[in-house]
Amino acid sequence: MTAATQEQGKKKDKQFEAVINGTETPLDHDVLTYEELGQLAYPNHDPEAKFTVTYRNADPSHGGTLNGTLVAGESVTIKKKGTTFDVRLTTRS
Amino acid sequence: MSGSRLVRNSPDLARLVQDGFAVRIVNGFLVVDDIPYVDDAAQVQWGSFLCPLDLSGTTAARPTTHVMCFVGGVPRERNGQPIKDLVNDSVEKWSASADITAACGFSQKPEGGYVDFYEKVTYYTAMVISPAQAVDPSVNPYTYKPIESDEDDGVFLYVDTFSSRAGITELNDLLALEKVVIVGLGGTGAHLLDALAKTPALTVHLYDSDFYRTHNAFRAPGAASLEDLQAGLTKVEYYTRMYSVMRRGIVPHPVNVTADNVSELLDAGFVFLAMDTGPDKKTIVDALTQHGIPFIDSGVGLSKDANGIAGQVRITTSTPGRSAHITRDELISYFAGEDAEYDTNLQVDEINALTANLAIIRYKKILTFYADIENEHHTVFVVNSGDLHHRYGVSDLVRCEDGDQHEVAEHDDDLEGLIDHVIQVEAIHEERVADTDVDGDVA
Repeated sequence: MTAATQEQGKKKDKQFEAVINGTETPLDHDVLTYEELGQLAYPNHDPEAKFTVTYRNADPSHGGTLNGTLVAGESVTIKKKGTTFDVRLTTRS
Repeated sequence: MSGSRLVRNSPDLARLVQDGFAVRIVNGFLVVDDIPYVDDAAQVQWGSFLCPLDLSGTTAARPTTHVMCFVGGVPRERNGQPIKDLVNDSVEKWSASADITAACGFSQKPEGGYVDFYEKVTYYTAMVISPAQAVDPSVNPYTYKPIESDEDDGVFLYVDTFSSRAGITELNDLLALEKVVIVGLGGTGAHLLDALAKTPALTVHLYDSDFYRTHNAFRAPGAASLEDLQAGLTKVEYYTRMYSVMRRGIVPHPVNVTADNVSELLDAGFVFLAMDTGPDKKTIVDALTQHGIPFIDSGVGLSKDANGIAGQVRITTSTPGRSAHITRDELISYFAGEDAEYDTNLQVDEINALTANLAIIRYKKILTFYADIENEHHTVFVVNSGDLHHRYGVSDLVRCEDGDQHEVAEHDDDLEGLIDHVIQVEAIHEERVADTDVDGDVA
């Protein structure tokens, strides 16, 4: 495999990019679930932690909305670039 | 003669009483009863003057408006003809209560306005009673009735003249719940109290076992003194002391709510949960849900991101008909997380204040103080984008009716509840429209 095709392969692997809690995160698929977003934002988190998830600038052409919230069991389709997520534990007072 | 501190302290009101006027103070309004007037059939009737009372502390101030309203009818000349230039249909017709609502208003302004309420009342009295005395010389407004004031019966230590001036006294009465509870007096809880203290809720119960410390002062409403911080008070004692200068009915409970005492919340009209999360919160949420006690749980989640502090504020509402969404969709975390892992033990005063105020606005919408077309049961504010997301409201129902299969599946078990709420919201709206038509005035 040449360096060029290797590079192409990498690009194909990570053809999407979402911003999660301010951090650019390369992704190889475009449908993200509530549960996966928790893992991406807080790897190996305790499953008891229930995050509050919002998204902005998702791909609404797949039946979702541009901006909104995600709750347990839901997913959203992202754009190749420019979709942002906020994943937080809203437990403080 | 006068049991009213306000009247004792106010020379103009005291003089009205000395003259024999039947003075009452109702919901921040000055009401002067037993005013003889002539109706359109040229008969003598009895009505009342009504105007907002302007106060400076516990003393009547100079009237800020020259407008006066009249309750009971429309005063006429001795022959039943209109009194020239007296009635002014363009003025606001005030209402101190359902049975003290203006029939008409006058707008007579002497040069420089009225110096005090004595001048204002006597000026209008002269205009109204002259025709009545022409019909029957024996009538006069000097009945020497004992003055009535609700200033000592209400929850406030001084009269709520804000609501009367703003013309929202009747709406404000919707907030007179017997018992409201705040669980947790951290930044959000303290700001909840700050707002609730200014509503006529009869009692506001505070639950928190923590002590009031220096770092609390930087997320608290108002300004704590060094002495306050050195006094070693619990949060609920400190806040009870602070807010009892304004109102009665703040009830401190220097304990946390657990399974042992959660039953104390089950006679509340409304509960605010502003506590750090944990197993006790699940106990409380389950108990309140089971007993149909409406509540709002609020939560803050902030982190120090690369570009500054970012995060979310969550307002989750449960009402007797609508509580399934909380457990089904796992909206409230009962697991706090380690600070190091999640870095969420970060809070800022204005975010706490915003959280509390979003919760209070939601609460006042449920009590129909505010107009409400969405009836959302879950709201998330996102700091870095400024977005405010609502869920489990009327829009979700509309999406269902539009045939969004995903949403139908998602909210199937709430559909009936949603429809009920839409019907209720519409009924309230229709009632208000009907009131507007009858009164020719915005309710």
